[in-house]
Amino acid sequence: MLVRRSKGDVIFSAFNYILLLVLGIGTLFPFLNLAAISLNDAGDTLKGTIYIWPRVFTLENYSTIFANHGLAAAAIRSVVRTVVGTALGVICTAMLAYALSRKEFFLRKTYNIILIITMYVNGGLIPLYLLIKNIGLMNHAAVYILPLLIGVFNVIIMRSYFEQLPEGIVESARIDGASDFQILFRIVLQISLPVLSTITLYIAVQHWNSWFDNYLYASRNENLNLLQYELQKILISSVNQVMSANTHIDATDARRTNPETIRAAMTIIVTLPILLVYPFLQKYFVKGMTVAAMKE
Amino acid sequence: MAKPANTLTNQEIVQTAGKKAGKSLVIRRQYQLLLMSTPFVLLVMLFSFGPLWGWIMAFQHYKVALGLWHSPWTGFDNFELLFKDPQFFNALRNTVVMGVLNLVTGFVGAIFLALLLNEVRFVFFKRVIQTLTYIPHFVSWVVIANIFATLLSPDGGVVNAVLLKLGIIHDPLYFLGHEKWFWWIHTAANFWKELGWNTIIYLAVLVGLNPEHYEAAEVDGATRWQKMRFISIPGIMPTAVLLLILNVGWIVQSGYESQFLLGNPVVINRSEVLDLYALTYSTSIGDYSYGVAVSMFKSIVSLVLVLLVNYTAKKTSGSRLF
Amino acid sequence: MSKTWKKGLTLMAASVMLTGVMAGCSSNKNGESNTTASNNGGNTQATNAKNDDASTTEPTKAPLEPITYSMNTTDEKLTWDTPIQKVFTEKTGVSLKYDLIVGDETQKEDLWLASGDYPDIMAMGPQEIQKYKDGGALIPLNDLIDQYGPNIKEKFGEYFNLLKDADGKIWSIYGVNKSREAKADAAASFIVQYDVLKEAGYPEIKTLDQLYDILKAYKDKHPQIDGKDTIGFSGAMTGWQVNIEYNNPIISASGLPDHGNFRIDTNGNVEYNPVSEDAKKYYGFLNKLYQNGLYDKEAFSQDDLSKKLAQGRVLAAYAPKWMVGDIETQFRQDGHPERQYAYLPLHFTEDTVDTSNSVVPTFAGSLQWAVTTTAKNPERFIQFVDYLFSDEGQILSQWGIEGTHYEVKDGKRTLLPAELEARRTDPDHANKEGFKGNGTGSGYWFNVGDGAKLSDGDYATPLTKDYQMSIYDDMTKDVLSHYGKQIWADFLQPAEVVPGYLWQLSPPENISLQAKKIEEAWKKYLPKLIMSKNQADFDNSWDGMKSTMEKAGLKEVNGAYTQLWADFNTKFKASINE
Repeated sequence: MLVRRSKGDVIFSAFNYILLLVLGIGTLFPFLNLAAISLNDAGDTLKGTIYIWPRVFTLENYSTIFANHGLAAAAIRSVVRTVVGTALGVICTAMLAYALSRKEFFLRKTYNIILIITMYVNGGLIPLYLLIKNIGLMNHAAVYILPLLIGVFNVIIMRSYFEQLPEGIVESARIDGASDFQILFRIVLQISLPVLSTITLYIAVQHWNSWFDNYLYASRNENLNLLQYELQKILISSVNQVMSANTHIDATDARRTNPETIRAAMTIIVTLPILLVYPFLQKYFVKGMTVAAMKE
Repeated sequence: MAKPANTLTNQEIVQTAGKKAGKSLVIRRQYQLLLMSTPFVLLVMLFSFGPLWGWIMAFQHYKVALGLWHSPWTGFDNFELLFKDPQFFNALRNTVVMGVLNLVTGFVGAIFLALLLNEVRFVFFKRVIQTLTYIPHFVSWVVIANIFATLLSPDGGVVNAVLLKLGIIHDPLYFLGHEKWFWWIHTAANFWKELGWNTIIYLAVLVGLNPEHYEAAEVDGATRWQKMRFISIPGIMPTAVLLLILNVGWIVQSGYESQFLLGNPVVINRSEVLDLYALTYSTSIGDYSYGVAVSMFKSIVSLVLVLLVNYTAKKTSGSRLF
Repeated sequence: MSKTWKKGLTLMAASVMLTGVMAGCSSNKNGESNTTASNNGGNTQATNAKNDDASTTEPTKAPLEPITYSMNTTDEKLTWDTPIQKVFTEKTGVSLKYDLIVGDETQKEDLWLASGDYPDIMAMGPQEIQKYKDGGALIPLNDLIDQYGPNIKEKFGEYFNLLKDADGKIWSIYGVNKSREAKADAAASFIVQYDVLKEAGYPEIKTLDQLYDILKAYKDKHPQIDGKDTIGFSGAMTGWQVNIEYNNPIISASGLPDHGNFRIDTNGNVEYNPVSEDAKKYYGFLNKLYQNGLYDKEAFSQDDLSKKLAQGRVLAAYAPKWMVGDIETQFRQDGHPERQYAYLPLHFTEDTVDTSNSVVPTFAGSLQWAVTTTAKNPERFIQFVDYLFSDEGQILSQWGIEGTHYEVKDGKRTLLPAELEARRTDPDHANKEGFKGNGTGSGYWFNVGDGAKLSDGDYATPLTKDYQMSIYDDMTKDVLSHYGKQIWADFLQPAEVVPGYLWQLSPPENISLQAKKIEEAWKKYLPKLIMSKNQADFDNSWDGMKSTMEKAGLKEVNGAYTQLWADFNTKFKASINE
């Protein structure tokens, strides 16, 4: 295909690239800042004004974190939870979204209204806690999956995407005798990869970052401890250490970390995997997209 | 793929079926759709409506020790207290103002960035920038607030240093110590944190647009601007309207973390939002009932807002939530 | 649904800070309070025979059958897998399994209570104890202690009845303070850089005005330190440190004992401290610093004073020792020992009578141990606590194991050099060895106070003046010598015994909203007061604050606390004379 380049085009492109570059650098800053702090000596960090380069280099913050025995196992659990939770979440979200996108579905409107309402009402923590307890999810792995299985927000996004697809695709499949399940999984999802990848990311991030359910509903089952929870424990213990510094005769000469440096290292540890994984995920999806488009 | 003229659409089947054979036929025809949706709707209802009995607390002086059955009833006292407190209305104002500012800047910013990224032909560059821009989303507010405090410090902060050097100011400014600036600083921080993340969905929609449209436009000699104006923007409009409606509902449910961490006693009149108000005067003093009253108020406002915006959107743009 | 989760996450973020509040307050308060002068070890009447009795002839059924109790904690590093805990279990058969709370403590305790899902043993403040009691979750301990707690009774002695609630029942147990001697690591909280004192020729400074003069002189001479502006005096107004920075110094400067944000006059009238006349004086002092460019410009938006102090350019501040310790270590390591701080008691006037150094008979207030209805064989647990109260248990929990942690030299217990070294270099040492438990007051386990003596005549804990001196650096010793002192605690007045502190009591319930409104009004007016441009401006803000608080129910709150204090004192007197 011939690409014509007008003068305006070139100027626009130049301007565009520069603007995006500035933006990228601007948003990279907190990450570099955290990386620098996480690699900086704890005592020195207290003095502040570290920007993007460590002043007194050390790996102590990371070694303190990795010295935690349960960390590796917790990280594996987190990965498993994220993979399982995301897979189930995406499939279930897609099914619900598909059903709600079908104009002929007689409960469409009712379900839509119910779901919208659920998004904005909140009974509070105590009743939710009692509910989780009463349905037997306390300290059970399912507590990581079931409450998060359907995010209404995600359903609506996906539903709207499905609704924009050319109606003829579904109709012709139906004429060929395909069931709704077949239509969804063989056809609709194939041509919805961009939104699918977005929803996958949303759900995966939610699972990966979530630790409050671990803390609240599963802290008594050590086999359910996740990476984020273990990290949170390390952070808290670092806070405690500062507070108890002189309660007794423990001298403080030995302090090698403080909450700020630990928090920085923590953020790097949990964020890196997402940053590294998503581009690949995206690439995969986009490739799948093109393949699907060609098949069409 | 045109619709074969001699078959009925599902819509028509429903209509005919409804008239002729009643619901049972519909259910039989749509059992797969029912199977795909009903269990999940019930699940969502369980976790959302299940705990709603907690709203009863708003009409009590709820005590954890006594539980719902034995806590004393107070009728509408909590609501009376709430609606008589000028501080509550101040918090409501702050919530709405910051909510709207966030919504507008976030909405415009994300669409703008998505369109710009969409114009980038160099895929690697596009992907890198996209990844970079959503980094701040993963950084907690504690860290973000810290970074802002450092940058804006009147005592050696970078922003002041630059402004001084440029001769724009002669004395360092105490950015975080000016009541009137808080809303804007908060909006800027939020904008910067969520910009890239908000963009993801729009980019996905743009990628999903039929490439044939662009090719056809190209052949017709459309300029870049025209393609953006007539293909890209209309393409993402339905999603944009949808998100707008959803987010309007969340305006009053802002959370309190960012305001709490960026704020300080000097700017409290502008930084106290509803959730912070509820935390201070309810949870932190163990009086859950008052917080539940605030929460009920928020839920109702949210729903009313969503209904209103949905109605307006339906009238004006044809997009709607339900 | 996702909303709920998000809310949870945000709640947590704040709770890191909330955890800080609790821990911070208690260590601060303990740091200030546990100092005495007169050694009154005489009331440790018990004979050795009686003690042996208690720890060896444990009652009726075989006590060594292993039993495990669950217990809440916020200390992630607590474990039962330590040398000292091993001995605990050998002696009593009891083990603890910790149920960790890493988030908002009160929230989780409330959830546990609401769902009936609490651990066997709960360590909580008085307010939560009250809640659990009202919820029927606790068992009264009177009979159990009568039967299985001879050492508890012996250690509490005349103060035993203080354990009892208004209903006559004992719902929780905590440490008793047998020490009437100065705690060696106590220190005043107004801090001044060594270099400032040195330049001024080590003057005796006793008042805030004198402090002002030397700060002004130093800053005029050294407008910058290490290329950055010198800060005369700093503070932190955002977050929980606001209480430390803007309430406590007023109390200290008026020479009063620390009752939290309240002060109590000689007639027992309780007054909200931030609107007292002394508060006006102190904010006037800060305003003067501010107007003259000596006050930290950023104090109003700072949440952690220690970050500023760490930069080495803050000449003076109000900061309890725990906030400064780490920073001073760093100064020494950086070769700037002159940036360390002297801990001086400063007052409004030279003739202020300082009664701030006080001692209370019990360690009630921060973590009291309660036994819940889920605990099986509660008598076994009381036996375990009783063991900790016995002299044998005291030595084990405070000094450790003989030969491993300490030795007896010339009839006196002394920590082994290796143990001292380990304590200095390994921040987790106390956890690894098992010294740390769910502290019930100022120290480890149920300690009876630093400086107290056991029935063998030797100290109950290893914290002594000699030890304290041994960890000072040369410059600190030098600065102290200019004032004719050996340790910072020497600057403090002899301690007075007070029945208790207001913050140890469960706050009056029906005024919590009013109290909160008043507190928020205080925080709102603070910056206005300190940043006032002139006297009229200042007076205006002061009147504004006062009237806002009065409208919010100041009288009621003061009244409720006065009543609380009166009730407590009546009970105190009655229980002593009973």
